[in-house]
Amino acid sequence: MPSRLKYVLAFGFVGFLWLVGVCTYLPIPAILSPLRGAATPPPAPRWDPASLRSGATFRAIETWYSAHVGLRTFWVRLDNQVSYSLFGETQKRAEGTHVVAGDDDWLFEHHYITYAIKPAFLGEAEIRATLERIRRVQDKLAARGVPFLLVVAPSKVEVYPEKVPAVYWGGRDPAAVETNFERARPLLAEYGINYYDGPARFRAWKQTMPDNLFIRSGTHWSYYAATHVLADLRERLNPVMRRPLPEFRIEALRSGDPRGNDEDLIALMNLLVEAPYRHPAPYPQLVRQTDVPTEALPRLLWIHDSFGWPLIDLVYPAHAAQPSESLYYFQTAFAIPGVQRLDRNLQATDWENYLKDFDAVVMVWTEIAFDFTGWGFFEAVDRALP
Amino acid sequence: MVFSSLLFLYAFLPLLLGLYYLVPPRHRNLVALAGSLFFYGWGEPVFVGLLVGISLYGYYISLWLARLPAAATLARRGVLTLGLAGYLGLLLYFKYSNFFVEQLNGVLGWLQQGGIVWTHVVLPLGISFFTFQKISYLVDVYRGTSPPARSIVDYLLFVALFPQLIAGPIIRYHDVAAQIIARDHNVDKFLSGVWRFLLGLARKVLIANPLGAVADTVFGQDLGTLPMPYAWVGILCYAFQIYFDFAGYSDMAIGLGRMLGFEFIENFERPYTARSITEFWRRWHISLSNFMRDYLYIPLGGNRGGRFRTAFNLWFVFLVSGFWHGASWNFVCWGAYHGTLLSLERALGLKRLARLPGTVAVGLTFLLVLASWVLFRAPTLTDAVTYFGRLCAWSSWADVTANPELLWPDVINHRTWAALVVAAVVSFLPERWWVRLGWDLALPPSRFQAWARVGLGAAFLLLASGALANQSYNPFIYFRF
Repeated sequence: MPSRLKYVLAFGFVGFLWLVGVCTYLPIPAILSPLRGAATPPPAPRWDPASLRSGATFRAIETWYSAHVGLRTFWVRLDNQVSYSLFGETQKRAEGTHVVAGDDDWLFEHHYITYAIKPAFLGEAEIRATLERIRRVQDKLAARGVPFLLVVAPSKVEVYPEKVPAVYWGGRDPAAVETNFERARPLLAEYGINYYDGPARFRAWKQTMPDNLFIRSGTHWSYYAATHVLADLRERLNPVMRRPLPEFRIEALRSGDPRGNDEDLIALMNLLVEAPYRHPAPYPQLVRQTDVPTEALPRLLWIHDSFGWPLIDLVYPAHAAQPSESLYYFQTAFAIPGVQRLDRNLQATDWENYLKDFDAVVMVWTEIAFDFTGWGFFEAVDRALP
Repeated sequence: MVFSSLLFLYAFLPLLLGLYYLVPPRHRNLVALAGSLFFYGWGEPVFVGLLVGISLYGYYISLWLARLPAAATLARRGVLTLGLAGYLGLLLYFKYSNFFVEQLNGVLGWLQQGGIVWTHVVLPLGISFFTFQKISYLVDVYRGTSPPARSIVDYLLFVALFPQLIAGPIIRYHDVAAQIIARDHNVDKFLSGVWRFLLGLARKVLIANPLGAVADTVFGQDLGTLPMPYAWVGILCYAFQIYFDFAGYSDMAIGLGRMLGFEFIENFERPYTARSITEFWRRWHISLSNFMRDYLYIPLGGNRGGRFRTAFNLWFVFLVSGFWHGASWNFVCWGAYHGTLLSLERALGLKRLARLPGTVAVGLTFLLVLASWVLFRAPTLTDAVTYFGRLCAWSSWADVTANPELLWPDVINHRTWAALVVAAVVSFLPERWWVRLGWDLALPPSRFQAWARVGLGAAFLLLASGALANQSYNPFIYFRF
């Protein structure tokens, strides 16, 4: 190799190290879109003498540097692409969401798989105690003219177990493993809880509808399936609500690139090249109704996990309900539509006054969360309302 | 700071190289020394003083030794003993005092007596390595193998030179004394250093790290119920992790040394191709084996005292070597195990072993080494015994599906299987292949090979940077609240 070329290589190596280092500090125009997903930024280094002496400051700088290194978006996406394109899998992480890749780009959250084959761990006494409280709250709300509906959302892996790589089942049939929700199902009826059995409904729909109840690249029910869920909810709620929900009319079903909730898992994979793995999905075009005036529309209080968002995303553009509030995980309050964060302290809320303005309380709860107790909602309301 | 970190790669290294080559050659040692002290201080700033202090101590002891006439044997021995006592005392305090106090408290507890109140002593980074280096320097000066360093800067640079400071190779003064005074810098050497560094980076980040994650998962389980296949996968991954981690680090050290004009000794020579434990130790952590041979085995009498004495010397050296690796009974037993195997081989005669077919000999040696890694990796001796049991627990084969949270994909994924296969192929590839590939040459004579090497080096850098950056990004699907 000519000597000049050797110098080019040597300077090229050092120059590249410099380039990446410089890119850490200089605002270089982003070629790639920013990394997706919710990550906590590393804490800023502390400069007090004790931290300096112990080396904590330097360790924090190192963590900071790793989180801001030049071309980081490229590095992370490159590594993910190697894993997915060469090995058909995603990065297993110490923390954060672990995405499992199945055949034909079907993606799942790992903990849903584990839950589907982990036998129920709540005893009957525990379930009964929870249901007793839910029933009490339901009765207290009903006494104030506010119906309550518990919407149990299905898990993608329970609806499409055949799309999960067999090795993740460890020889088990998820249908044969009794989960907490399945154990609670007869008791929900026994206690007279007003609930919507999403898992059963989806199992039935799966026989008659195409693979669109969940989109390959998302973890939640698709917008297409959510439209059907809304129609069901309308049927359940309208007979008991002061102001009924208007009919949801679908103008058209258009195929398009996954968006919103339908792309949350593929977005989380942060690939360099996503296009080959994004499969078109059907999107219902709901007609914005104008027959019912705003003041005659119901005002719904949503208490929900992330399965609530696709429903909310459809209800308000269709002008089917009055602007309202979402209590996400009963932790953070948002004004909807628009998802503007509200400064509401849920622990100090006057529930008597707060609830009377709503036509119904809809709690959306995924079946794998059936060890929870409404994230504290039932305790708070049970305590506050006589 | 470690070599396989983004901060080192994209901040420390370019800054140091830039500064090193920009200053006049006579100041390069100063730049290298300042960079080395900064490198060490980054992780443990409080111990920079210790490193410098103990170096000054050794330096002045060596000057004292050098001034004593050769005939003053007793005085010279006294000064050497003083120097060694200082080093070993510090090592004893920082590395072993916690262990000894723990043992003593165990005995006192058994006798129903109150334990000693003790504040845990923090282990300074790399103390085992730089203490041995200093011992070698002092003994070399005592023996007259090399004169004392010409200045404190030279001596400090020998001790603190960052490529080898934390984890070796254990450099002996007479190997680098001339290089500290004058060394050659040229583009061929620099590129050969870059290649070696990138090779080490790939070994560490792309092979050792994922294999280490598997070993951590397996050894982190309830070992009493660990299914046999997981136990085997766990120990195989650990065997290749420790090799690729340590040898990768040595590659990076050698590569960085070359970038700064230094040439360090090789530390690993394909140890898993060894046909006996004796040969394994000629190939594994060579700088430690050399140190142990020259500064312990030979002073003990080596093989000059008859068969039994030789066997004992070997066994004792390995016992000490085991304890040097860490202050726990596991390491003591690990050392004793290797010492026993070496003594047995010596007693049986290596020629007999050489008659075994190559594949059988290599396989058998690897199995014996694998067993030793159980002792090395298990948290306690009891755990090691349990682990040995799980390696033979045939009835547990079906238990791999017993725990829904510990199925095959939870233990090892496809990418790590690939890393394991690559590690095994690289480890067992015969030496002639490596020679033919000219693996240590940055730019082999053939143009195709040269460009392939450039491409491979670039790929190593990109993939390793990707893997390192991705470790620091663990996003959740949504902010939950």
